[in-house]
Amino acid sequence: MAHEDRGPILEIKDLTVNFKTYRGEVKALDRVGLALYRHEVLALVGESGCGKSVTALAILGLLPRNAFILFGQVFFKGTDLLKESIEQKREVRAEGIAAIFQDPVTFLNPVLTIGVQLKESFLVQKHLGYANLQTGEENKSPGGEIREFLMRRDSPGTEAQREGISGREKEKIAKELSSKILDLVRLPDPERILTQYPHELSGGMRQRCMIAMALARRPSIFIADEITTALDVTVQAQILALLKELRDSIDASTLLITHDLSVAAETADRVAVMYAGNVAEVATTKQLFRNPLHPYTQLLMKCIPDIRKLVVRLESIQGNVPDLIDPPTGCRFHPRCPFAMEICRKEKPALKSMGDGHLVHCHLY
Amino acid sequence: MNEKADRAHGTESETQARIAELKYSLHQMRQNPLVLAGLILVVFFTAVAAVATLLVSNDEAFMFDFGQSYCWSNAVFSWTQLEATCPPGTNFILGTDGFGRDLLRMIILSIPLDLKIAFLIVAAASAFGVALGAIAAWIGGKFDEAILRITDVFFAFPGLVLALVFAALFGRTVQTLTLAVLLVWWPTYVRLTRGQVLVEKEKTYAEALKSIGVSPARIVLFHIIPNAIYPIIVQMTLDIGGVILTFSALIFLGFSPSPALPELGNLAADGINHVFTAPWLIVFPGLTILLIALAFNLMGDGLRDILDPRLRR
Amino acid sequence: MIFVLFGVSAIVFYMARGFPSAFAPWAQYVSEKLKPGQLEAIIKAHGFDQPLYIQYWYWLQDVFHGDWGYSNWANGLPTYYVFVSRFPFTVELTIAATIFTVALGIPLGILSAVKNNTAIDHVARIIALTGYSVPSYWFAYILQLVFFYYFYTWGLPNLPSGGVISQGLAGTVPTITGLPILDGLLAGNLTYTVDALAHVILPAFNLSFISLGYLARIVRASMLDVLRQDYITMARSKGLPERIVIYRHALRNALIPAMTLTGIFVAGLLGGAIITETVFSWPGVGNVSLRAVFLGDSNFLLLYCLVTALIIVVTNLVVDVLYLFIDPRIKY
Repeated sequence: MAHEDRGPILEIKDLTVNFKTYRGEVKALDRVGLALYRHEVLALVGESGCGKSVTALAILGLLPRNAFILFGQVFFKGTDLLKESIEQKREVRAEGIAAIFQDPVTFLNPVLTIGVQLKESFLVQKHLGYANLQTGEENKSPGGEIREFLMRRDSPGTEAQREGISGREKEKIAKELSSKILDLVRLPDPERILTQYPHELSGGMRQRCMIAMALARRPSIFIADEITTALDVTVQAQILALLKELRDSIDASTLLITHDLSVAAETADRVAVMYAGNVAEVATTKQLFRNPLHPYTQLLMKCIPDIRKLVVRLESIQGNVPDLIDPPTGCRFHPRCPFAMEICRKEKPALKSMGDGHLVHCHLY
Repeated sequence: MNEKADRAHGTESETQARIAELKYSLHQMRQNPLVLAGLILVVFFTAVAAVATLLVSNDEAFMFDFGQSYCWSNAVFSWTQLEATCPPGTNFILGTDGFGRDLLRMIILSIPLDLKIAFLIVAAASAFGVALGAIAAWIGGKFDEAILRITDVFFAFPGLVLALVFAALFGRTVQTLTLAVLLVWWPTYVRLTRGQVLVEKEKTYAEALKSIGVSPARIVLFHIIPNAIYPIIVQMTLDIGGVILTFSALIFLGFSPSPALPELGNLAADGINHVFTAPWLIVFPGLTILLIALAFNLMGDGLRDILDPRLRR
Repeated sequence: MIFVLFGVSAIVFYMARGFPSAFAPWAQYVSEKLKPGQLEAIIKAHGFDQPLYIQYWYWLQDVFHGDWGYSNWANGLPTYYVFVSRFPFTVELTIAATIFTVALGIPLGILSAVKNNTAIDHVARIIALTGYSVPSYWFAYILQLVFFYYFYTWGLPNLPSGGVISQGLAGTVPTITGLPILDGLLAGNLTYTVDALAHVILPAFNLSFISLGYLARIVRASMLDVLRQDYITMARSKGLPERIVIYRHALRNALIPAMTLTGIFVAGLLGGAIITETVFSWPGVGNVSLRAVFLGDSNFLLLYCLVTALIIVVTNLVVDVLYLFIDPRIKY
């Protein structure tokens, strides 16, 4: 089991996705490649419309009807998700990859209570029971049971329980676990929250509920799509801290999608920068911020005002985000790139490894 | 002088935007098979209506040959053993009615009448209703409330009752029947338009126009109504079908102006007492009404989907 | 609401009495044995020669004293008696038609929405649209033709062509609620109940065929809207089976607007489905009102219009209140 740890748990290769719209075909993703390793947080950073969310939806198998995957592979634990059947994809979503979205007001069902929505996250799994909960041992610390539950995905202990659990038992277990898991995400008065509706909670509380719903499924990967964007800064900080804490106690990887570089800087181990449907650069957080290689990344860094210096004018990147129905030829960034060369217009840059896992797609190197 | 140029420029881009919207709508229509089917049927029936008097002379309706009443001579299909067969040598594809007239030709003759009346009623109801609704919504206040209450009263009448009472009172001419149906139909447009105008009134462009000093009449006529027109068009299309149904139902229930009038409900009414021996009298005129109403409803329903602002793009 | 009632009664009153026509309100007091001067005396006594608004005032006074006048064709029976004795039959028809509409219309709408833009969707929409394109009297006769006449001639068990209960069984069960099916159940008389059920199927189906089209349409539209919402994507991302996504997450949201429509439909039906009741000889309130129109029975018409207006207004209020309970987002 240990030797698998060095390989990526999720690997995206050459993913190309188009959307058919009235005005034409939007080339949303163009040969996107990413690798997510065990127990790390990979931040996927880029401006709105660069394809971050599309990547997430493609991994989950939830692309809308007008989307077409032209080619590419998404390997999860060795299997190509894109070739799986609908039912298999659903199983992966149930117990393998869990998504957390932004703005829970629209992402939580307004007419169902939090309790119902949380319970179904537990009940969708095949193996719910595990030895400790059944025998009700009391020598565990308060959060202990739930952490145990979360740790053991397919532990042998559950084998014995697998056949014997009736529906009603499952319901009971799910209910107990629901209130315990709300505790884990630091929500006060879990019993009450279970009976409330989404609109009765604050934004931060809703976001924690969503995290709980993802956590409940004991996934190997969390995909967090702009989870802090709809929150104010203080709540943002809390949520990120929570995520860090959970990541440490559970063996899961996180794909953190955000447009905010500072969020990436704070929480991520590695960062991938996307621009207009392409991956521009991938590096560890330290590498990226100390030594950004891709011109786009460099310009992005310059845009962030340094709080220590006096800034008279905010920097911005000249030009506009390209129209993906008719994207620029060659490297999609070349119209706005200060270092653009002749070759940038003609050929797409291949992936170059600059050592230590620092990857870049640019003709400069 | 500059204001005039500005205004012209403003309306020009507005028109361009509208043309683009229209193109998108047409594109959607082409992709929707139901709307196309409805459109084809509508065109078919309108064409039949247009040439009906060329195919069947109007006199045929009023010159009967009682010797051939209630008979069926279509050799391809037979109803039961009880039907009467027409005298040999005659060919009535859909049988004859109680007056000995060829049913198919009578149906053809009645299509223009029904369609004309339906268009008239819908046009009148919508013109009046839209005007009243727009004015009420724009002026607001007590006037608006009063209009609202009045439409409430009309909506409180169940189904056909109002039309029935009206028709019973004012005699049985085509004109009074038209008025009767009109009475039932106009309040919908008032409510609909009022709702739309109220929404548009709050939008920024309306405020902007007001602040420039454009007269309310111009704002409502040239800016608000064109923006709010889509649901009204949908309603009008759907209503043509509904009006034909109501109108023919009134005649069927007994308010027929004249027994020989070539009208679909009238033809069907003739067959009430002969349902089992001469079923074609009810089946075919009713089927025609069904098809006409279905045509307009297909179109209207499809249009409603296409013009729904939430489903666009 | 009061205004609506006044408005309705004023309009009907004005039309019934204000125009020269066969609606002579003194007709019910006329018989052959009348002597010359008596007619004038009667007219004077009832105030029929007074200006209309005074007549209206008299009528209002009568109403508040519980005197709704007499029906001039039902052997001079009081109008409220005529209404009340027929109303239960209309109620039975309404309940049966509503059950059909909901049971057929909602699945049709769901099917259409879930299989949007496929052949199934188009077929379902055509069925729904045919529903509200069909002339109800025509469909009623077609149903009779096929299920009563042709089934009979083809040797199949046929459904009755009209009436509430077969001749031979009428009156064999005590009238408790006035609804034949319920009375039969309460009396434990199975033959009676089955017979009553057989009689209600065709007229109920006729009524429901028209409104299930509307219901399916609304359900489809709101389902389509709901299925596009973010929380459905979220539900799917949880790995929930599609069945649960649709029935637990989507439907509960989508049915909220369908409720109003069903409420309006029920209210309209309680006013009596005139055409259906006439074709199927169903002794309900609508049937009677048609006869009242033809015979110029203004007293009955006034009562009928007012009661149905009241039902409609009250139903709208009830539906509004129900909204508060169904949708947790709404707080009064």
